[in-house]
Amino acid sequence: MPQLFALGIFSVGGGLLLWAGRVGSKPDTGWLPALAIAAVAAALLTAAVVYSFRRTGCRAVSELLGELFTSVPARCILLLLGIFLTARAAQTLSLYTGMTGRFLLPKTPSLVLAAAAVVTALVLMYDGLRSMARTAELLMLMSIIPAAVMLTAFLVRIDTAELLVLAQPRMGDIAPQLTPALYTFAGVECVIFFVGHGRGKGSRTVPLAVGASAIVSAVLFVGAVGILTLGGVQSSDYPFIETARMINIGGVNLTERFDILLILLRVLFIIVQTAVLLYCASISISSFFGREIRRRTAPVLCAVAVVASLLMDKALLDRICTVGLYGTLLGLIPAVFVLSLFHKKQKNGNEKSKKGRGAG
Amino acid sequence: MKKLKALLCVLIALAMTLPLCGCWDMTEINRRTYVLGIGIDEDAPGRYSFTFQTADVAKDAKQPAKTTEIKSTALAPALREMDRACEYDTTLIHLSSVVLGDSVKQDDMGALLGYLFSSSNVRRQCIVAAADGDAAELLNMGGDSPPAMQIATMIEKNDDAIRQSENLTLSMLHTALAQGEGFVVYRISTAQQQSVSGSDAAGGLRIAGANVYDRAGFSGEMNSEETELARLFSSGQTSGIIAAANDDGKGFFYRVDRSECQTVCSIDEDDRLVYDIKVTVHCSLADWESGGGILPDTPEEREIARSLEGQLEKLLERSRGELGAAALGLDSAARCQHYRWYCENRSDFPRIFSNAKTNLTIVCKK
Repeated sequence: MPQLFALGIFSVGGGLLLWAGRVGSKPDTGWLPALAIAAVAAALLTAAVVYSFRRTGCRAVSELLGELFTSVPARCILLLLGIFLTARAAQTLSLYTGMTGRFLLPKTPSLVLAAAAVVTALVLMYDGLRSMARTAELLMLMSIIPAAVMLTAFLVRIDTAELLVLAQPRMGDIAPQLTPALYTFAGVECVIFFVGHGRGKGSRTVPLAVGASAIVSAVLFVGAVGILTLGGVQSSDYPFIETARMINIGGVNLTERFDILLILLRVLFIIVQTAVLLYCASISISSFFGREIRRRTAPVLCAVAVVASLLMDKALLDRICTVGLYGTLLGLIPAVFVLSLFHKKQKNGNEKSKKGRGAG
Repeated sequence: MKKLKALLCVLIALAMTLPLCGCWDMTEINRRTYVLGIGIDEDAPGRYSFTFQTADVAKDAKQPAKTTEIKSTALAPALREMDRACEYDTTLIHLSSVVLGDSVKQDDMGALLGYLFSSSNVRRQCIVAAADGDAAELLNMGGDSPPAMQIATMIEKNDDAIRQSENLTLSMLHTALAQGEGFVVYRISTAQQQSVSGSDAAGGLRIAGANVYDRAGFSGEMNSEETELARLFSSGQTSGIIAAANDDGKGFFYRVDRSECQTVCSIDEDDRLVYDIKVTVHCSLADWESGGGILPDTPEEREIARSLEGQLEKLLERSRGELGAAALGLDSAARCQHYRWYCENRSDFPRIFSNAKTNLTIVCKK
């Protein structure tokens, strides 16, 4: 259970507001209600995926899609998923190089930063899902104390008067805030790739991971607004890092550098998330070719992600990812759920009838 | 195959240690020049004199810091010039304060703050202050610790109780500008004259007042008494003197021990801004006219409150007039309590505030 939970946390919780601001809509007073709606939607979608796997008795995503859509459409869907997930990995890498290049290593070329991250991700994903989940679990345990320290520092330094702003949402603001809120859960689509491996556990752990990510995102957002003000959050490209740099509890200069802690946590999240995204993308692409060639597609996709993160227009990359995110969350997963409702467990039925005949 | 895999893992692990030392960004700590303070004065229109105070870490250094003066048209070329003038790379990661000379107080603060904020290695907690004269003179002042750090420490310590010093940092001033609000910058003086309460002084420095900026730029100045009084509009003020007289007309001076302020902002039917401000002050007797001897009858609490009310009303009047809402933090009160309304009326806010109604209630507790 902790392994899948950690994997869920890392694949879902990496989104946050940090790049949500990049997708065209800056956070506003409607962000928290939108986050609550998105969290419920993400939990429901996860439950729908878990149900679909149970209903069909499938263990892998290619098997599930093949069962529900028949072979050719399933392969086309997998190809699209593969492209979308590679674009998401590129977007993640672009965020990582932008953030690290700005705050940590300004003179180091972006190519080196992206290559270092992707090589680490490749090592993580090469041994398969179980190994990746074990690493995620270890990193999650390592992150708990720094994350708790940082969240406490955020809460201690909050100016409660600034939080009054968040208590004045307008209904009209909630809809435009759904995209950045949904981005907080970007990664939940990867669930359809690994939930089948632990169906019983997945039904409990993945919605829990979604809930935990929602709570952490909400606390970070509230903290950032309480410290940096809503206008400050909106005007900054990296609001959480700027917020962390403003914390100076009791005049101790040490606490000014909480941004390092935050960047460290972000780097851990980004590397594991890139590994998860590229792992899922390589499964998708190799399934499109109908062969188990994941180990060969993975390095190619890593290279594609690095090149795309450095050369592609950021706005175009964001647009592809937004369309892909909405397509997966509002199109594919509900369709899988609906089709699985009508699905009959033919395999189990056939096996039972075979056994019955054998006994006879 | 297993051996090859193990070898590959070792090679990758070794390769991953390379970026740990900082790659292209690696600079040894003793090969950096730490800028502690920047002073800005105007020599001629459009021509500035930048004074960079840097930490002197040499073993035989007589002073903890040294200053370098560079004349330029803007901060960016001055920093490049400074880089060339110094033996090592300059860094602003330990910048304690930015001091603006009297000659630049009317200049565009937005451009300066925006430039400093856009640079990721500038310390966000650095204090922005104004000099009551030349910034260079202030930074060249001697002392056990660099003046740039003395200024920051004095303001941080002075306002630690009410957390107002946080509002004087680069990040908060930039944030205020980003959302179209004004701000206050303390004016620091080297003069030996004591401040009213004595609490606004440290070493050879004292807070001589404050420069107030609104969204359009410099709007006015407050003297040291007004600066102390202005702090009563936020909770936690621990300094300041209230003058009051007893029935016989004898003057008494009360020290503010702590204070609380509750500001409720509302918008009436005529779309007029109404502030209900309640200031509660806990004070103790500090001195009286021709002090010494037997203590005469002290004024009652309501007399002290009435005296303080008069002073605060005057300040409110100045704030509604030339200074603007930022002098007393009343713009952020309106933004927090009526966010939507404030966003819609942001550009017209100075005019709306000048017509605002204020209901001031003062409670004094001895």
